[in-house]
Amino acid sequence: MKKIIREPLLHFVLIGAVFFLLYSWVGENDSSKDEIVIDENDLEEIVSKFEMQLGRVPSEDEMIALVAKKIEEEVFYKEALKMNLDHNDEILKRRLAQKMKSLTKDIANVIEPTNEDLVSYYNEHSTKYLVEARYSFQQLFFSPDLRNDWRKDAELALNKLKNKPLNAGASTGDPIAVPKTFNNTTSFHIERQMGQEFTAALANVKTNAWQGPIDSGYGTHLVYITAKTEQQPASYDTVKEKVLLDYSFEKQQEVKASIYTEFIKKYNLNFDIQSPKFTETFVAKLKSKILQP
Amino acid sequence: MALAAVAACKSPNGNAEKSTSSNTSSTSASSGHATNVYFGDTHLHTELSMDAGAFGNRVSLDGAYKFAKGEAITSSSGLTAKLSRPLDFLVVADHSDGMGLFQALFNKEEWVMKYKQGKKWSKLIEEGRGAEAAIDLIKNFSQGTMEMNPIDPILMRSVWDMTVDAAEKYNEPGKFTAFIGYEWTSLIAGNNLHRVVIYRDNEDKTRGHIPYTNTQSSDPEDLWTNLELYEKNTGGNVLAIPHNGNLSNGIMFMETAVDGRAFDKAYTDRRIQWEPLYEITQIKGDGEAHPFLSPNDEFADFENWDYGNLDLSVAKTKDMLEGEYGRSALKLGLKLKAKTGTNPYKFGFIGSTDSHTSLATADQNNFFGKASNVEPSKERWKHPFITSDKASIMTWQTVASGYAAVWATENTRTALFDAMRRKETYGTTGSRMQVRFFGGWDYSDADLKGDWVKTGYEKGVPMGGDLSTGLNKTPSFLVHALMDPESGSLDRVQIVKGWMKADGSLEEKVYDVAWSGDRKMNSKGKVPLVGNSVNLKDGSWDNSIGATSLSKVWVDPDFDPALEAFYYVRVLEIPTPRWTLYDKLQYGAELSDEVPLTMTQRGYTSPIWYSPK
Repeated sequence: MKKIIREPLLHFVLIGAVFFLLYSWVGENDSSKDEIVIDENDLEEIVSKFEMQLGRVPSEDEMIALVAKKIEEEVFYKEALKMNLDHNDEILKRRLAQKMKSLTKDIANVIEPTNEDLVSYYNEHSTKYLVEARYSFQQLFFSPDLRNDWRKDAELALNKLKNKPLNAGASTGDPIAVPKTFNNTTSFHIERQMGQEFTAALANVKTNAWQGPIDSGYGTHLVYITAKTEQQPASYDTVKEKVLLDYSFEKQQEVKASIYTEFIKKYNLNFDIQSPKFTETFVAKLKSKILQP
Repeated sequence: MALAAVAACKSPNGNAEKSTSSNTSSTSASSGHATNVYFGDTHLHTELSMDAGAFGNRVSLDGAYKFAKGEAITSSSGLTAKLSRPLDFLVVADHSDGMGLFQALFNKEEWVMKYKQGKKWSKLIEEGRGAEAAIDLIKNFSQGTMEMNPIDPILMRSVWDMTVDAAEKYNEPGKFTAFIGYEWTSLIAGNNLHRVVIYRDNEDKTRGHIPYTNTQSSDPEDLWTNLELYEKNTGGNVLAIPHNGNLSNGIMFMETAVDGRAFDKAYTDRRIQWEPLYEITQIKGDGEAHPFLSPNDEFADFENWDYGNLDLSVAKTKDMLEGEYGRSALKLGLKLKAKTGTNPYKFGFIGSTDSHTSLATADQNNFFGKASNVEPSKERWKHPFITSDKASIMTWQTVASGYAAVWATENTRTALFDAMRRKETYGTTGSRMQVRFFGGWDYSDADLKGDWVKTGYEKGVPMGGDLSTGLNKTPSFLVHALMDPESGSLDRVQIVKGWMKADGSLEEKVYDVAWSGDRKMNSKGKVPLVGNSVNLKDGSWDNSIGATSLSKVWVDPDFDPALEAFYYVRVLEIPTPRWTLYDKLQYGAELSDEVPLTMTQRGYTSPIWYSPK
């Protein structure tokens, strides 16, 4: 609330309102009074808020000041509402619309999916649920920093290593601050170190022989894959938490959309656009786009 | 049973995630030391931030986490958004002020359930008639017949619950860390004193501690009291990261407290206790250095915002700049240490986005703008970002920056938080370059061979550390930078030194210590520019002008053992396309001539401090 009161636009409106009040006050007759009730719930709320934020209960004086502040806020708030200051206030409008939308999301969360819902969601989206590929390999690096033609050097080195075992590469290649040996590492973790280009290329490399050259953002590499587990579908049981997350997220979006559809049914939407500034073609397009989303 | 199964899996080749072993000449799994660098964003806003919502953000916490984890989602403007690479961690830092939404009504919170309407709506929801409840609620709200005060800040609790719940839901130790946090949005007469608050802890400790607000106090000292209270009450750990000194009109880094009293030891102790890091680069400008403060640093003029404070209500004057930039604050800290006994500005660096779109991206070719109203489009570049009678800042001036890089032993809340505490961190403008920086007394060129990371830790301290006993030696520094394989290659590595002379005056110097190619350092000690290979017609560039990796053991040639000093590393990439060029190429934006089309991505490490005492 205070935050809203700090909005410069609202400041401006409020200053205007004060003048308006002073102006109209002179002529105003006695009218029935509105009621502001401060009950024990309000007091308890003030205490618990204070406690939550400062870790102690307020003193009596602090309490009195907080109640006075609350009443003042309430009075200004009620008066502002009476003067329709909330109407067509863009900030308030957005804020309320935003609150309403959040609310619809919450409604979506209330709907608990059954196990069947989740299993059928999993089946429909099976391509999303995979056990990542894993590789064990060694890479030899050929650095553009140290060589004029690092790709050619890599090819020459490969010719020498062809049909040779893993340890034949021990003294070949240049240093680089990424691991030389990867042990049963997921493609996710390989990609974090080696980048996308290298990791994508790895999928097509034959195992148990020196292969390459393959490029990365760093330069060129030869690789020797000793073991490889292909990417495969993940069983439902291993991913059910993720399925629940995804399912709820999707439902949230759906409910959001369907509530809006319900709401808008309650309105007759009319376009009343006369000005020649907007061409007939545009207006026709606008109507068709909005009325049939 | 379950335990047995797990044990069985850990046969020779199991336990793979952390065992990318290293019989290599360069990486290390040295015992207990940080083995991996993790990239993330410590400063992201979702639709729950009032201003983000007002700008049209409709992407929820779920969307924000899914995006950070690399999934495709739909942005607020309806575009498909996906990171080219997932992030390792995220702090959703929504503004605590205005964190009050209606959900509380539906969480059956006691204070709502005491009202008839609250009971009625909650029952409707239980029966699956939530929409009816919503409509009734709206009706009552618009008629002023709500029994409860709908904009009461106590609603904040329910939003905080959502924030905590989402972090718990998406936190995936070992793969993705979702920190619990928020932003404390202090503004004093339009001057930005914002802090992001990050917890080390899980929901059990954080849920009960409602975020502190600017409504309660704009004074950072009161925030620290709140953080102290948290640690005292829960036994947990928390820290705060200030940002955008450049929009504070000189009050971010001062010599006096907000209430006007001069710093004393009590103040400086508390400041560095709670604020061990500074967010040095983000969408609203880069905050390392300013050309007015650093006239001899030809790279200081970089994406600076020096027009005024946050709302541009007061224009910037030159005397304000010293209190706004990371480098000048580090220097000021040396002076304040001499005065009070503690250096209040002995902080490390991170970068982050401060994106208000729920999309944590600092990628130039995937920039979704500061807020949802400036998501990708042909026209966005010329949309005013902030405007007043004093100045205007246009959207093209927003920076697609940055990320926080953290050296840690594993990707968990505790490991990353502890690394932040010890400042083993650096900030980048969005690149995922890997930068190591060690300081000690005995590094030699030979230490760059073999397992240099292990040697780095054994013979000295990493970034964020201290050198204190001189032993009549000159400090040496081991620095190593590896390019981001998806970004530009490296132009140069620099060491920035700041020190305080015996007469109390503050000095700085930038040393080029390693660079690509065969460029020769000139007589003034400067290495010529690397050139710009960006093809403005298609956005391609040539990495061959830069280096894949640069490393150096550097010995301070101007060391004076009697003087307090700090050293940090700045790594510059070769020029690559700025987001504005991608807007031009992808959306046909017709940019005016003043709009830069290329930029140099950079990294700033936390300093290593030397003290004669």
